[in-house]
Amino acid sequence: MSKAPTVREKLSILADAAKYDASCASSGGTRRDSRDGKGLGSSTGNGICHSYTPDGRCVSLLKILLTNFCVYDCAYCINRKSSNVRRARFTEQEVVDLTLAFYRRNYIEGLFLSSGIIQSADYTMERLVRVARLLREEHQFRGYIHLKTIPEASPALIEEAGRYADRLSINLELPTVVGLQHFAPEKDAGTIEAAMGRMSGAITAAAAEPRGPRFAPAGQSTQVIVGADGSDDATILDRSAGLYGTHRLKRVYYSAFSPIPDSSQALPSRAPPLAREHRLYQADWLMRYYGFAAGEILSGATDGMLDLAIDPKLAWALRHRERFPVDVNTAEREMLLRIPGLGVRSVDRLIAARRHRTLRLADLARLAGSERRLRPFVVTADHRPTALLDRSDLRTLVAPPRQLALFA
Amino acid sequence: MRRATMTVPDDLAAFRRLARGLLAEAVPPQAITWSDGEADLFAAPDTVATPPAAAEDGEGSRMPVAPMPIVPMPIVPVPARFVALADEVICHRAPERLALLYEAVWRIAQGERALLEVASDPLVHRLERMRRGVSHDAHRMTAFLRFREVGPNEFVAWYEPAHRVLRQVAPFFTGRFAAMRWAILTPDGSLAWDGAVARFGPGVARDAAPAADGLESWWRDYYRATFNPARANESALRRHMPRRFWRNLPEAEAVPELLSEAGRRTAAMTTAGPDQG
Repeated sequence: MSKAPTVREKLSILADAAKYDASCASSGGTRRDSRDGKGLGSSTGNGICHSYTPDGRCVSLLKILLTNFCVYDCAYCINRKSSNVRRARFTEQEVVDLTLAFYRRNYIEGLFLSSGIIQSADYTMERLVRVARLLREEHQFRGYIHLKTIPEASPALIEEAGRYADRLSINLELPTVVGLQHFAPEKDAGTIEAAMGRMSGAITAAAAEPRGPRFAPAGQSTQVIVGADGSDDATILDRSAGLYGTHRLKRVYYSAFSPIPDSSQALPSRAPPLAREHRLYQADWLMRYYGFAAGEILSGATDGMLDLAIDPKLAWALRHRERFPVDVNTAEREMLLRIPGLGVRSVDRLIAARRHRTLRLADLARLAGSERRLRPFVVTADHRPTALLDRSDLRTLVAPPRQLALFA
Repeated sequence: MRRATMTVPDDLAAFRRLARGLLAEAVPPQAITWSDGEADLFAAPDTVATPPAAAEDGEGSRMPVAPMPIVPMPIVPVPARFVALADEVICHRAPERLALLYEAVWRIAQGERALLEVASDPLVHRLERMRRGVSHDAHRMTAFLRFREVGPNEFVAWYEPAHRVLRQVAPFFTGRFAAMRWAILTPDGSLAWDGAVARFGPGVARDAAPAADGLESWWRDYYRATFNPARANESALRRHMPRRFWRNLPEAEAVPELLSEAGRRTAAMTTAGPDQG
C-alpha cells in the first residue's frame, strides 16, 4: 500500500468511488433558509443542478463515500473487497469541512453521503449519521442531505439518520432476488425490502405529524442496475411499480451497468446502450405522471423490451391506434395525457385554454411546441386525420429522425 | 404616435404607471412606441423627437396619429396573474417586451379578463415564452454563480446573466448565505450583502471579478472524479450547460481534457477486461 492519501487525494478517490450512484437529486426538502443569521444554507423544495459532467449528468450534491473500504464483494461494484482499487477513508470532520467549503461557494446544494461497509453495519451507519449530526447541529447547516442507509443497521440509527437527512435511500441494485443472490452474495433481498418498509412507515408517520420529529421529508429512493443481469424491461418496470406502490418511493433510479476498472469476471463484458436507461426513465415517468399502469406500457409488445428508437408513449400509441384520434376540445385529461407529443404541463394549459376557446391545430402547436408528432392522433376544430392512423408507415412519419444519435 | 419611455429598463412600477395612464386615455397598442432607456434601435426616426418635459413624466408626446375613436376607459384592476407575468417578462432583454405587455393589459381591459388562461393565444404564448426564458435564466444564475473567497467569511462572485435577473435572484442568495458577507457583480448591476442589508449598485466591468480562490482546484478535482468516461455525452452537456457559461465556471476548464480522454479511458476498462478474482 502506498502512503496515506491527503485529504485532497481522498476527495478524488472517494468521489470516483461514489459516481456509479445515479441519484443526485436535491428536491423535496422542506423549505427553509438561514435568514436568522445563525446557520448556512437553504432549501427551496426544488433541486438545483449546479453543474453538469461531460456526460450531461446533473451535479447537485457533493456525492462521496465516507470510505471505499468494504467487507462485501458485490460483483458489479468497484469498491468490492476483491477489487484492487486505491482505498481511502475520510474522517467525519473532513466531510463536514468539505461540504461547508463547497456550499459557501455555491458549488453544491448539499451532501450525498454513502459508504463501504467497514467493521459492521452499525459501526458504518453510526459514522454516516455523525456527519449529518455535525452538519445540522454544530454548523446549523440547512442545505440538503441525502444519506445512504445500510439495511442491516439498527432501527435506532435509521431513525436518527431520518432526523437529519432530507432523503434516505437503499439501493436495490439488481431487479430480481436471483440476480442479487448471484451478484451480491452477502446482500439479502428480504432484509432490503424490510428496511425499505420500515423507512416508508416512518416517512408516512412523520409527514402526518408535522410538529413531531422529522423523518426524511424528501422521502426515499433506490437504484436498479440495468443490463448486468438478464432482466427485461417489463420485469424492471413491474418491480418499480411495486416499489412505488408498496413503499411509496419518491424515485427509482435506473443505472445502465457501466464498465468499471478492474471489473469482475461475473459481469457481462459490454455495457447496455444508454438509450435503454433513457427509455426506462421515460416509462417510469409514464407510471408516475401520466396514469399508465406498469403492465400497460409494454402491452402488445412482444419481447418485454422498450423500443430503443421511439419513446414509450409513442410506441404505446402506435400499438393502440383504436384509441385515437382524440378530440382535444372534449377529451378527458386522462386521454389527453396519452397523446404522443403532449406533456403534463401542455395538457393542463390546454384544459385551461379550451374553457375559453375552441382549439385549432395552430393552437395545439403553440401549446405543445410542435404539431408534427401529434397530428395523426388528434382532432381539432379544423383538423381530422383521415387515413393517417391506418397507414403502415405511420411510425416513420412520427418517429424523430435521429433521436438515437443523442446516445451514440 | 405616442411615446412611452422607461428610464430603468426593468422597473415594473414605472411600466405600470405608464400603462395605467395610457389605458385611462384609451391609447391603443398600435399607437404607442415604447422605449426602455437602452439603445433605441427600433424607434422609427419620425417618433424620436419627444419633448423632454413629456418624456420625463413618461407620458410621451401628443402627436396625433390616424383618427381613432377615443373612448375613455374606466380603470379596471389588472388580474394578479398579469402582475406576476409582467414582473418576470419586464426583466427580458428583448425591446418588444413592453409593447407586448401593454397589448396584453389592453386586451384584458377591453374585456378579455381570462386572456392569460388562454396559453394557445399567440400573444400569451409569446409572453409565456419570454417569462420562461427569464425564469430559466434566473434559475441558472442560482445554479452557475460561483463565489470566490476574498477575505475571512467574505465572498465575491462575477456573473453574466442573459436577462436582467439580479433582482429576481436576490432573495435566493440573501436567504441562503445570510451569515456570510458577499457581493454579486454583473454588467447590469451589483448586489452587496453585509450580513443584514442588501444594497443594489451599478454594474461593473468583467475585470472587477475576483481571482480564483484556493478551493477551485479541489472543486475541479471533484468534477473530474465524478465523471464516468464510459458515459461521455458532449451534446447533453452542451444542452444543459451551454458554452457561454463555461468561462465563468471553474470546473469547465476540465471539460475538453475529460472529453478527449474519455474514449481511451473507456477502452482501457473494457479491453483490460474482467480480472481473475
